[in-house]
Amino acid sequence: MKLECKGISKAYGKKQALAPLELTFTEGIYGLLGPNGAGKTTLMHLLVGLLAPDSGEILADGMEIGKLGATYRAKLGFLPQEPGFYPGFTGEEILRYFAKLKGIHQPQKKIATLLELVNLTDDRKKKVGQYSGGMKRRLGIATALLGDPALLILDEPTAGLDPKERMRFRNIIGQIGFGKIVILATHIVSDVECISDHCILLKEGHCIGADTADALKENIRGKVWNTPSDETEAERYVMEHACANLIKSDTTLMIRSVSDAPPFPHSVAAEPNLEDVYLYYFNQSGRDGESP
Amino acid sequence: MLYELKKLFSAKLVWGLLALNLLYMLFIPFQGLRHNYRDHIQSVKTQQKLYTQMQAAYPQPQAMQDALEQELLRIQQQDWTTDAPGIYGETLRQDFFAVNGVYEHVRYLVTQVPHNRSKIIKEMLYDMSQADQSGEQDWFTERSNALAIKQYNRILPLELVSTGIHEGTQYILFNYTMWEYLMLAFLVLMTVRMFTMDLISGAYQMIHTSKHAEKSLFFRKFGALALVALLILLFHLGVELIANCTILGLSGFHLPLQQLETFEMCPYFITIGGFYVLKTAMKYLAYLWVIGLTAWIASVLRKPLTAGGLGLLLSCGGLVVHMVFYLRQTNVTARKIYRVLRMLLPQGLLNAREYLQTFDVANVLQYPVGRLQLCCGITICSSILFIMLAYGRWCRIERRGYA
Repeated sequence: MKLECKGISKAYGKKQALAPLELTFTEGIYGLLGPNGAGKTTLMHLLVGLLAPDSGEILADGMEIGKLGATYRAKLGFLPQEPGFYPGFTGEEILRYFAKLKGIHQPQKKIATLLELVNLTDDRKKKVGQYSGGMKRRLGIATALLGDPALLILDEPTAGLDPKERMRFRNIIGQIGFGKIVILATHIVSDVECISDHCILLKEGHCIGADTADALKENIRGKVWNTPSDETEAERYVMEHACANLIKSDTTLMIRSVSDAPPFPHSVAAEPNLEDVYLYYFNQSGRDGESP
Repeated sequence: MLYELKKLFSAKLVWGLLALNLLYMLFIPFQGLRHNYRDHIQSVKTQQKLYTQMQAAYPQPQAMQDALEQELLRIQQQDWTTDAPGIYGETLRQDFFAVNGVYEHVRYLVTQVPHNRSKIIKEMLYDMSQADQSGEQDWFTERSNALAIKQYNRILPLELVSTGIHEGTQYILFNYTMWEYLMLAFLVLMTVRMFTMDLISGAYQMIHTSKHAEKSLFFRKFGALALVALLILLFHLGVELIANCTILGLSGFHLPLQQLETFEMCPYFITIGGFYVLKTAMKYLAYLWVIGLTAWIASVLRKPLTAGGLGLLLSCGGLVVHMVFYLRQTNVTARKIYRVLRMLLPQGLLNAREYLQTFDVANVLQYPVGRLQLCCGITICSSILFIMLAYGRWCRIERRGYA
């Protein structure tokens, strides 16, 4: 499957949520990175057909997705940012209901496998109203995976998951990602770094970078610095520069920063990671579980 | 559809509204029947017994009528208001009411129906001949007269049997408007809930990105609502029939509707059973119209309160307008407006009786068309239109920027 965004844009009133975008997705796992308000959710909603672009078109294997209609939706699995369920349904009933909506015949076996995959087998008979936020998200992931979709779009899939669940989710996506297009939007950099083949950086509705994680890291080689420091110096540096990470060890304090030139004479160039890429492009922190 | 029903009834409030609806449906008839339940049964039994005796003794209708007249005179000559022992019932007073009831019914069947129909036909023929002579051609009147002659000039297979008593009571007990208001309000609220619950719960994002999110889901939702309305209606009909048959002695469902005096001037050939089917079908049409209209409103507005308010205004409001002009029929203008309303407003179908009591036609391009058929046609067409509009809106959820 090939998904192409040809000059798609979207505005909400006067606010331009997405500037004209040119993107092509083929089989692989794509991480959409960007701070809140960058246009990630808008792009996802355009890709799943919940929104129509103001200009441009989205093509699936050369056909406009609006014209494909149910044929396109049959290949689609979508996890929204806040998946809503009916509190009176049990987890299993939710999956059976969505299996019906997706036109899956005899879904029992698939449902059992998915419940096992997202660790909800023991809670399958429990009403969704009694589920925790993490359980609901896991149920949402299972729902998105129903029908083995060729195109899987996940909006903030790991939000609200504990570290163990997040690890499990990464493994799931790693397992099922082969031969599919998986697009996941997040501001948790480590998720993208662990499982994505490609990264797309969105900032204020513009695509400011789209490449493999390694290529993006390579772009900022020589711009990441480790500076051994004391507390006073570190405090002053952090006050003056928003884009700084402080790494504490038992005896030393290390300032990790991203800039074109070394911040201190004694700064040492470091191996860039995806978090540094995030810092470099967005001038913000993108650490696990934090909202930059 | 079962999942849509489960979604619909997943809130306790819905069960509460349903219970309120059913309780109110049953409360008035049973409240009314509670006081004179035994009297009704006794009276029915006495009349049925008398009818049987008379049929055996006098096979000829005219002879039966004469005999009943004599019997009525005999009772009237006695002090029939006392509790003196009777022949057919326990007291002479019961005898009087039974004989009078059967006599009136036999007189109606044997004399009144043929006489009045013959009179109408003669009058119509006279009018037509007068119009021919004057040379003034009023196509509608001419066609209308010809249709009336055709409709009334037929032999009705009426039978000299008891079809129950207190025919008016049946209507008072089971065709009261207050319950209809409640039923319409119930349907509006259910429809609004059905078509906005996915948005409120947030599930719409996942639903509308599923393969069968459009046509199939829309019609499953509509079907679930139509099923709920049908089940309530059938329950209402069942209760009505059980009460009418057991308490009021309604019988002879295979007989023409004109067997009941209220429908003497009904121009259609329809049985009593057929009337109940027609009445139910017409109510169902009106309910489907309300569901279609509200589904469209809910799909456009997508806000439960606004959609519910507008739905209530258009459905119950229409019924209020209908009732206001029904009650003001003494005024000529109001009567004319009422006739137009009965033709245009689907709420009129909630009272089928009104369409079947007279030769009730409207002038459509100089052709006489029954108001019943017109109202049914308008209701069906507008329901289809509303359903199509609602479907169109429902499918365009992705184009509405709700994401």
